[in-house]
Amino acid sequence: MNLVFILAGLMAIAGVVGVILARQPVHQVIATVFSFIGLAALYLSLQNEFLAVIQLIVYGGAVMILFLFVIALLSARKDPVEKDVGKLTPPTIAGFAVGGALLVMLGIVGLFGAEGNRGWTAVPEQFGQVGEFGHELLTTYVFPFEVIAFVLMVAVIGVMILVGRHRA
Amino acid sequence: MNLAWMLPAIVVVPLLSAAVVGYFRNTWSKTTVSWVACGSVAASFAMTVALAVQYWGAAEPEPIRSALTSWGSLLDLGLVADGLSLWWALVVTGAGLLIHIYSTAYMREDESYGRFMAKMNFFIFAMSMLVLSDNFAGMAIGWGCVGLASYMLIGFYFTKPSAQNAAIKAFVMNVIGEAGLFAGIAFIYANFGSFKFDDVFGAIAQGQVSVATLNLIGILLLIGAVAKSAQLPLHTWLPYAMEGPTPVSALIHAATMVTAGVYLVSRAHPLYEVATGAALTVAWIGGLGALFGALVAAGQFDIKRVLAFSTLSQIGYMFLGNGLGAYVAADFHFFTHAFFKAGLFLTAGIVVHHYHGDQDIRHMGGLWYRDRFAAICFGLAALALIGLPPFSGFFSKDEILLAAFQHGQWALFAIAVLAAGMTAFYNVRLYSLVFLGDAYVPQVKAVGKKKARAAQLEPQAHAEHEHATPAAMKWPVAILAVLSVVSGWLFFGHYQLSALEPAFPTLELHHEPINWVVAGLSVAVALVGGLISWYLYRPDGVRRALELDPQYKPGILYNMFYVDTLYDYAFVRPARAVAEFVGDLFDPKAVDGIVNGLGVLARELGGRLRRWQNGLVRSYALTVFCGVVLVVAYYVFYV
Amino acid sequence: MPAFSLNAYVALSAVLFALGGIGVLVRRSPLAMLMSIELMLNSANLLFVAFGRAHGGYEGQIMAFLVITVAAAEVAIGLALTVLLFRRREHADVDEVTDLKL
Repeated sequence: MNLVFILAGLMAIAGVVGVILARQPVHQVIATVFSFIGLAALYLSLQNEFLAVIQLIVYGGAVMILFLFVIALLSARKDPVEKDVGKLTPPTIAGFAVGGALLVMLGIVGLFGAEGNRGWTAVPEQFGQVGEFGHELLTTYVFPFEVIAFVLMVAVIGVMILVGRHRA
Repeated sequence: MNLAWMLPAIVVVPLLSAAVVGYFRNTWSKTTVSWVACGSVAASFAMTVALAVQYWGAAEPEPIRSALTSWGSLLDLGLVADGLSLWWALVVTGAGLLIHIYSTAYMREDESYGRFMAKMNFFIFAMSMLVLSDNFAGMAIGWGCVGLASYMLIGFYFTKPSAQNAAIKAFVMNVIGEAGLFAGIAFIYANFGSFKFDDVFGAIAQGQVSVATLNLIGILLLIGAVAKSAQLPLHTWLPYAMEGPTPVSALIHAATMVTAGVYLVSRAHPLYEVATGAALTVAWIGGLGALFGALVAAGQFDIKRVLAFSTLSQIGYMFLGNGLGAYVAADFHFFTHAFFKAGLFLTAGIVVHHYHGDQDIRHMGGLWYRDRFAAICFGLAALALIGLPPFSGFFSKDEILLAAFQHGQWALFAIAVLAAGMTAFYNVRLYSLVFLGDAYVPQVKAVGKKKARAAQLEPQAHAEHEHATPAAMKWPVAILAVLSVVSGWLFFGHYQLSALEPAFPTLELHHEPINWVVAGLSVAVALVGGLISWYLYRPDGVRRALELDPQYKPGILYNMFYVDTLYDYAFVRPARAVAEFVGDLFDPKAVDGIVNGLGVLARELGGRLRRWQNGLVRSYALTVFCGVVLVVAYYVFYV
Repeated sequence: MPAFSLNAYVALSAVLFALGGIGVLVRRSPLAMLMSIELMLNSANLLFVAFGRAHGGYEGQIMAFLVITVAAAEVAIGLALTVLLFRRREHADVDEVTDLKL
């Protein structure tokens, strides 16, 4: 288990770093997917099987495909690489500085936070399974479930309004 | 019967009259205004006389009291009619009445006649309040109000810059005095817990307060008295106060207001009896003032200025008397002085009327032949001022000299006698230059036969244009002249003592027989001074010719020993420089600079901050992240 | 029982969040920025799940589920906007879109 965790963690981090450093947009997408896979493994290590699968399907399968489509749309004619990639302009330096500060502070919180020394509670075998998850979702948390469905619908309608062709 | 109600009435009736006349001054006719204004003062005088009759008619004179307000110990104001206050109130309302009647004729031509009468009535109110109060607070209120009245009346011709400046000068110098006065009164309250005269003087009699404190209070009150009475060193406003109309000079700056300082010291005599240091200061200020005034008066060319310095000198005598403990003498001198000084001023008004407002005595002369009435009245009053027997001034001034002699104050005695000599000197000079000799002929440059002949005709034309003096002006002058003559030996001796004695219960007063040595000395010195002056200023005297010469440049006496110039350099110029600095430099640059600077600052700040909204998403994201970092940092490090 | 303590998961989540933030600030392509935002949301998800597992309740999972859904919706809209903005431009560069400048 240790090894899995470490590998998964490294994958996640590598993915993010890859997004920062990659030049081509498609490379960025691949890095992102890499990161998602790592995270899914981490969810598995936490006994959340259903969520791991959902992560892979929704994120890796749907969202990233969307990204790929948009990349395809936008770079039909031109070089899709953006300006000044990899160059250290002042905004870039500022970004690194602020982000670095955040990293340090959150790292401190993470590594030395008191909550961390609390142990894991024991959970039943069925903890992350689909059945249990679905049961909870549709009984205790049915209201957020419905609202989420509404949100998705709004998103779809929104996209259609935004980008749908308006022929007179 | 109880006449206590008259006390507030004496004070309030002139106030109401002032308000009414002031309001209706343009709607009523001048006759109505005259009747109302003089009538109110006459009513006050009548009531004062009634109270006086009751007070002195009783076997044991009992002060008549009347409370005005009684709002705790702080505002317990009241009026009292005892020997001292009635003595003064009689003079104030009596002389006030005569001068009001005089003014109805003198100021009649003036278009602001109603305003004048209203302000004069206000003054009568204020002065009555001052002398009739039974506590320091009420007296201070009256003090301030007479200062206001003086300001209003000096600056009556407010279109003249010289009058405005004179009024401001008088007021500012009196404010200096009031600072001292109020400080003294504050100390009184702090030490005695009350403003009422009875409480304060009773406590002094019991020796509750240290002599040092009483000396301090005495000096502080003296500052107020010195400013109000125009004594050294706060005297420079008095000559300029002559910018006001002549009745104002007569009433306020001769007979009554300037004597308020004398009243203060007399009233506070229990204090000054114990605080001998302060009392001696009073005496010295008075003595020096007497000599100073007499000297400077001998060098002036404006008839009213001569009389103003003469007032300074005579009040100096009163202060001298008060300082030496001869309160009765000082108050008697006040009494006689009011009559002859007011008489002199009113007659001077008649004289000035003849010369159409020209007050320069070098342009006068020979008036004896043209207006015998004015000459006689002036002469009688002047003789009283000089202090020759049997005129009133002799009796009162002699008593003060006697006090100095008896107390062994040889320096003060010498100064006072010298001042008496100088008094005779300047009086003879004045009389001679105004009434005797040849009439002044204005020098005309020789410009050809025709114009010279026209110039020769002018004095005669002037003579024809002179109108006769109105009766309303003549009667008060006549009455005052008579009083100048008789009030001395009428009231001297028994009457005077029995009148004033109840006001000074702590003093042992006894009727002094006339000390022939002192009396003889004073008369002799006066005669010598008068003769010297006659020799110099007689119609063909040397000095006269010198001074009448248009090329004559006046010297130190005329410039009042340069005291005024000194004050100008020491106080006025620095003050003006500071005012200019603040007004022209500091205010526009610094204060406005700060205010405008705030605006500029806001605009600059806004301009700089505006560049933050540059429409770039990444910069906005950066800002958000910075905020997040700050919040997290707070939680990580401080919580 | 997971092998590592909760601290490790929290630390990892923190690192992912910070790095995702850097990605948002440093890259100029709108797509890269959106991807970085997705990664930040994922880091939050990790945190939810970890704490949910630690406490033993179902709230963590449910919350992560909801976040995933919302993220998907948000990506859809975001990409639609990106397409609209940058369809006719030469470069997909966020720094060129400054019409909201004061």
